[in-house]
Amino acid sequence: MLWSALPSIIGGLELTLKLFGLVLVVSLPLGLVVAVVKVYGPKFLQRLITLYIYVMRGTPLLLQLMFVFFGLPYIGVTLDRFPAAVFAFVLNYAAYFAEIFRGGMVGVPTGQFEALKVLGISHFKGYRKVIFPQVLKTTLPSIGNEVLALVKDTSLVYILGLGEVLRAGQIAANRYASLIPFIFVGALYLIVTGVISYLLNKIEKQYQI
Amino acid sequence: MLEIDHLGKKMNGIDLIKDFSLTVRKREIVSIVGESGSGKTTFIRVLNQLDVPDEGQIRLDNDVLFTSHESDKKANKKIGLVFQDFQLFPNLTVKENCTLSPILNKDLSKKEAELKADELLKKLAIDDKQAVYPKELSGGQKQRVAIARALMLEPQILCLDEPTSALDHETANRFGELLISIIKNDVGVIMITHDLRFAETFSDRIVSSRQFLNKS
Ligand SMILES: Nc1ncnc2c1ncn2[C@@H]1O[C@H](COP(=O)(O)OP(=O)(O)OP(=O)(O)O)[C@@H](O)[C@H]1O
Ligand SMILES: [Mg+2]
Repeated sequence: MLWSALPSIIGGLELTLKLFGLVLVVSLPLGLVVAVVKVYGPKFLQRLITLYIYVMRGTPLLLQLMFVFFGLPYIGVTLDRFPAAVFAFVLNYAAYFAEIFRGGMVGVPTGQFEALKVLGISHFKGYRKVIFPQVLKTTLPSIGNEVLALVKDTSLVYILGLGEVLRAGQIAANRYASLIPFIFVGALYLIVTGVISYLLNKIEKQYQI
Repeated sequence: MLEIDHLGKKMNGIDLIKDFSLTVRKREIVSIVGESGSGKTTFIRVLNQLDVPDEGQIRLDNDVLFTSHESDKKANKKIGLVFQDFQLFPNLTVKENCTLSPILNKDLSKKEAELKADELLKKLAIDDKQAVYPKELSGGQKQRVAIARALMLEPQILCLDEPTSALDHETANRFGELLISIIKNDVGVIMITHDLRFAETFSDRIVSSRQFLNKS
């Protein structure tokens, strides 16, 4: 009988992974762009970004989710559950990634930029070939932490009534009055985070020059 | 021939360099010696357009490289610089450090750039480290890579900031011989050094940084 809960839990896992992948793929590059603008952009954009990052990091992600899905409709902006979740997560995670990237960028010694200049290499090319690879290397561990946090944070979308893996587990636990579904869901998270940790480690090693 | 004409540079409102003129010819090694804080590094930074001069003009073979008002970004590559701390790119191998600029700027094809890097690294006796990353090099080896990287652009003037500060007596002498072989290719060298013995042995002229302010 517990087996009959399996399809819904697997379906939940699918949704969790879809959300995770989508948010990651959008928020990482967005975070980088935000960081570049915060470091090199015009003053007013810098201030705007500071405010954005302050709000994103200073309020609970849960509140941000509720704001987007339950709040925005009051001003006429209605999003479906899944797009609303993706939107809120991307905004939130891009802010964290931006701060990490910014720290990495500021950490590259000015001498490296000067060496590029003396060698007649343009800002853009220099950034791509020399600066960014160094930023990536120094920020990878922190990025990795955020990526793992994102896997677990996706469970918050249960508040929007989205059937991600944890919600599917809870429904099964209630129906069968059993704690097995919780253990099962926990094991699924461990497998996912385990695989991701393994991949992150591999990437880190590759950049460990 | 590099001509520095009536150069002026203030730092925090204080004159570091004022009405200073200097000519450096091809195949000439000019050493700059002087007290700490007297503006030697600043002078070399101005030559390489890392700092903007307040006054004066700098010409290379009668082309105006830059004046206090404008700077010609393209002319930059005619003057090369080896930083005191080398500033090799840690994410690139020795060879990639050398070939990056010529390839990115399409001055050479990838193949040509690699051949040229091979040649230079061989000449500097560091070709066995081609595929190695900078952090695996000793100080003296890093220096030679930095020199190779600068020479890849065929500068007419090569500037070096305290190149012997990290070298022992013997290595410094070998480095001096290296400079002499470099200038044979119609290069002029300007180097900052604290090592008076080294300056006297290997340079054609020694300029005291007191002359930046026209003191004797
Ligand atoms: N970026 C900077 N901002 C402000 N002042 C600076 C800067 N760089 C150098 N200075 C000042 O300019 C003066 C000259 O510095 P510079 O580095 O040219 O001296 P130097 O002759 O190379 O000394 P050293 O032999 O110790 O290397 C110093 O008083 C220094 O404090
Ligand atoms: Mg100095």
